[in-house]
Amino acid sequence: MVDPGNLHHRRIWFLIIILFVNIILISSQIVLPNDKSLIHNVGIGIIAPFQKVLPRMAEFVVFQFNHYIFNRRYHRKYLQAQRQIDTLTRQKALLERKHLELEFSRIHADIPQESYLRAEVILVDVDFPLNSVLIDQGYARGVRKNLAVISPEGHLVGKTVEPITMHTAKVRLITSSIGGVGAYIKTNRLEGFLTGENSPVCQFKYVIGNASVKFGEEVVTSGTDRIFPPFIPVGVVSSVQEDYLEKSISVDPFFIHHPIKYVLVLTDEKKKN
Amino acid sequence: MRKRRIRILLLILLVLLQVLANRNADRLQVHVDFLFLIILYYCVRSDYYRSIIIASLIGIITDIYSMGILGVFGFSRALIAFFAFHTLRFLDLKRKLFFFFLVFFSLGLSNLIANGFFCLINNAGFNLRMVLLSPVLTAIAGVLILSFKTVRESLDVY
Repeated sequence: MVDPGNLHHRRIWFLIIILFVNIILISSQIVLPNDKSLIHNVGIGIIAPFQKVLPRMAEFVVFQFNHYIFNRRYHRKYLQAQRQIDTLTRQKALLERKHLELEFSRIHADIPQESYLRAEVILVDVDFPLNSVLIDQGYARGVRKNLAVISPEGHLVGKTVEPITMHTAKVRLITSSIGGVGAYIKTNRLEGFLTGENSPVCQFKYVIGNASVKFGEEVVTSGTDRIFPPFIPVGVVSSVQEDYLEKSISVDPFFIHHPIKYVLVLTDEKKKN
Repeated sequence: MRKRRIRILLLILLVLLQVLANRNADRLQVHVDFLFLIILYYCVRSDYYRSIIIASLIGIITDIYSMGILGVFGFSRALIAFFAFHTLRFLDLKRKLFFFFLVFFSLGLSNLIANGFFCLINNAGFNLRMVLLSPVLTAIAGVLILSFKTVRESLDVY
């Protein structure tokens, strides 16, 4: 059963097609001033833009295709390179670890193996990164409160503080605003007290105003605080300002210039003393 | 069977009459379009699609013998066949006056469209003979043919 509306539409379309065929027939015979038939001119008028556009389109498609092939080839190479980079990065990390271990051995060759404990930093205080860190050694390995902690390069890092668990211990850094380190200027043994401010710079306090302190002089531990062993490098003087009674001296600690991945906990009491 | 035979004979007769009319068109100075009656016949007897195609083909044949532009009459005849197909269903062909006016108006309109094309393409003027005289004569011829009882019977017009 054919829908009458649909049938009517079909009939109209059929008529239009027939009329169109006749129109084409008519236009094929009409000759324009350029000696070409109307249909010829119309045909050219329709085809000409395509003739213009098609080569450009073809050029564009070929260009894009080549571009795609090029990109695909280099993307594959890029992925290969990425894989190689990943492999090399892993190898580099392993070599760095080995290098670090060798460095430990080289620097602390004079320190007996049993006098220090190598520990890995497993957590950093997120709010105050220069306040404290957590290491992976605890009282199970002999870590106690107030043990000096140094970097693999031998620079002072801080001391162990509570809480100390069986396998972890907290290390308060020398840049922490709590506590301090007894230290002196290496060249003239001018003693003072080093405190941190949770910032990359420490303050070297209680140095009398008329004392001679120069920029760039090294600061080492004095040992008078009975916590840190003497002569451990701490940092260098980064600024000196004259004050009324005492000098305002800033010290740039050594340890912050290297990422603290590993530290050494000095456990040997004899060595410490 | 007899009716069918008469119909075929009638179609052949109309074609022959057309050929005769065309051959003597210069001498008679009149033009009767017998082929248009065939279009109307198909509009009455046949289905829509066949009517339109036959109309268009007959139009093209008219174009050929009139030495005009191919497709002009094809266009106008197809268009008129469309209207005639829808109109004829509502006309009482027993009344000769209706038939006369049907032929006159449809052929007149068809020729007017063709004349319009000629005006556009060839800058020809309005052709009174084509638009008025030819439809009148064709309508008279159609009425005369339809006045034969045999023809009426074959066309189921009682």
